[in-house]
Amino acid sequence: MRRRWAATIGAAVAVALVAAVLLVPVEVRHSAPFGFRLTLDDERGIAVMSGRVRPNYDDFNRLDLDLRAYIVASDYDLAITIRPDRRGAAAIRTIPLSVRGADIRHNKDPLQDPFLTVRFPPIPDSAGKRYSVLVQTGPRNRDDIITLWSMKSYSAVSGRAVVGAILDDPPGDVAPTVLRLVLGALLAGFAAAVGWLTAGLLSLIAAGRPVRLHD
Amino acid sequence: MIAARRHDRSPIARVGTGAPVPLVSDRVWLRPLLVVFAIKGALLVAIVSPFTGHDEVDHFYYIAQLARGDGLGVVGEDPLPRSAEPYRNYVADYPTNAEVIQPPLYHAAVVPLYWVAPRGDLAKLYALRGVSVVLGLVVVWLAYRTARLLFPTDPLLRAGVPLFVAWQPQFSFEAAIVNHDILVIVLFSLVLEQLLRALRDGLTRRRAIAIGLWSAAGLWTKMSFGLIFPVTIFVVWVLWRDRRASWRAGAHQIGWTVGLPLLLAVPWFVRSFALYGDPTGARRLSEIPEYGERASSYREMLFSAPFWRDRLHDFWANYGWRQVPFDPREYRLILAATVLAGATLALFLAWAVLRGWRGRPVLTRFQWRGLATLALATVMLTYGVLYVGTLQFTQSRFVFPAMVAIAVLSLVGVSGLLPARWRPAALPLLLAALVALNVLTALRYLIPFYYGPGGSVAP
Repeated sequence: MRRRWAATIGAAVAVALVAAVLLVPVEVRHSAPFGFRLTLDDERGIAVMSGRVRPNYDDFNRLDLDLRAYIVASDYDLAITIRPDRRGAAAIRTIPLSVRGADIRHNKDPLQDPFLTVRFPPIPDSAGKRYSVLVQTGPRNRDDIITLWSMKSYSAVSGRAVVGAILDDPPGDVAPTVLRLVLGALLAGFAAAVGWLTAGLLSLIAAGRPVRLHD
Repeated sequence: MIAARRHDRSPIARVGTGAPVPLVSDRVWLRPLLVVFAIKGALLVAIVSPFTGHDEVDHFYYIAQLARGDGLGVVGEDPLPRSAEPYRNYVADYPTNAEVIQPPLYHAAVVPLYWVAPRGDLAKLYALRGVSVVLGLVVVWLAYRTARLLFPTDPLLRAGVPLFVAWQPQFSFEAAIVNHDILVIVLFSLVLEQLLRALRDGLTRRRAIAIGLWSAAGLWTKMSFGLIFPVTIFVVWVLWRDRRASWRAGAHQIGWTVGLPLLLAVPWFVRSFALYGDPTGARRLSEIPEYGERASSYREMLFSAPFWRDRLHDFWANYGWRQVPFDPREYRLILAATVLAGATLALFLAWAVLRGWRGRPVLTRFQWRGLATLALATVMLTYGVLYVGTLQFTQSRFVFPAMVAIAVLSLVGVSGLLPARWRPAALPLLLAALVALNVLTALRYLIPFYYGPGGSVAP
């Protein structure tokens, strides 16, 4: 009876895992070495106020910016502008941002997370396109120096889109259909095995009794 | 202690009440754990872009070189083939192969598979990655054996330790790429398990020779395996003191367990000395540009908070030659769990000492000694991480041979402080946390790094 309960719960866990992976939205970080796009040229001492990102998923909705201010006492009114990376393209998102100078000081503590998160309404069909990101200062900070050292970009998509990305472009040079079938089976097998493992652990709990470490 | 011995030899274990509990019941969770690890490994083999594991290009072409019968090679003199060019960003010393500095056991052992695998580098790479998955399975099995040996009747430790190892993201990554480190982890875990068995049952000559031979295999896989020797000497010393044996008997045991492997590795020491002027060849690696420049001093590393933060990060995950880290949020959660594990371990040990003084021991002598052995192994490998840091840039994966030890030490405090009746209930929580960590980070970071239009940083 206990084993039946354990098996039922295990099966439910497997189904829930598949449902969660496929349906629950996640914020995926776009492909970039070390997770971010470097805009600072440290060797030549060049810092800029803009950079480019290339989302590899649709619904680009978030930027994490490593901003650096050199006048820490100021508060900054900024505008982050996102536009397609082609000449004359109009801005498609402009996000106002108020930030304390102390939060974006140029000499951030190395233990601090240097990134500031900015969310905006998702940009559909963003996968594979390049976007230019520009940081502009407001009238209050017209003469203040602020730079963008690096940035990360994200999309809010369902897990189905992420899993689909592998199945659409499977690795290796085996026939894509075969590889898709194998990968699909492995993903399903993974969920089933997690369910089986859950059932096994529940059986262990049901069989066990309180013990002391030195028994 | 006597009870523990009985548990291990019979399928029936006795718990505190004296009622028999069949240990065979572990199969109900151990089988699915091994299956889930194998599937997860196969998925990682497929997901992680070819040749993007750490030093994977070098290790693969080292194997290819041996398979062609082109000899062992010399650092700085062995050019990589043109087919490695697209992956040059993943090579330490392009255009030459720096990994030929490593002893060749792993590489030679997989040569037959290289020969029979389908033609083409990609197919052979995936076949060799499959070997790493199998070796990873062996480590999970050894984690179970070690936990069962030390804590036969504690379900949280017996199941939690192999769970921890099987779901540790960076260990799974290690077990899905072509790299000799996974064989080092297997051999180190095996020797540790044998040492614990010796602590419990005694060190027979047969076991001493076995430990010596496994250690020799470890040295022929990677010279850093020598960090096991202080642990071995500690165990031999403890047993020698117990038996009040003669110096001669102690020397014999040291001879079999430490002298034998060192003797068997002499040819490699001599070769390295002749070629690089140092028996392990480690100093030659510091001459690699960009690597050697990032060398530091022990003092700088020990007292640098960012250094330890980075070690925590790449202990848990820094896939694809460190190019695919987690975001700070996940690392913060991991830090919280690490602090919890450390704090509970310290509290538990203090409590156990106190109880021992009052004549109500919480741990047996064997368990105390076993934990000390595992702690020493972890300390030695942490020293190894620091030592590498004095030569070149270092990484936490050098501590992975102590993964089983780290898993035990991470969970023993939690298990010891939890009321006994709650202990098993912690298992589903541990599983849920580890599954969530693996699945979420795969969806958020790992897969998007390689897949999706504009993804796939590697060619």
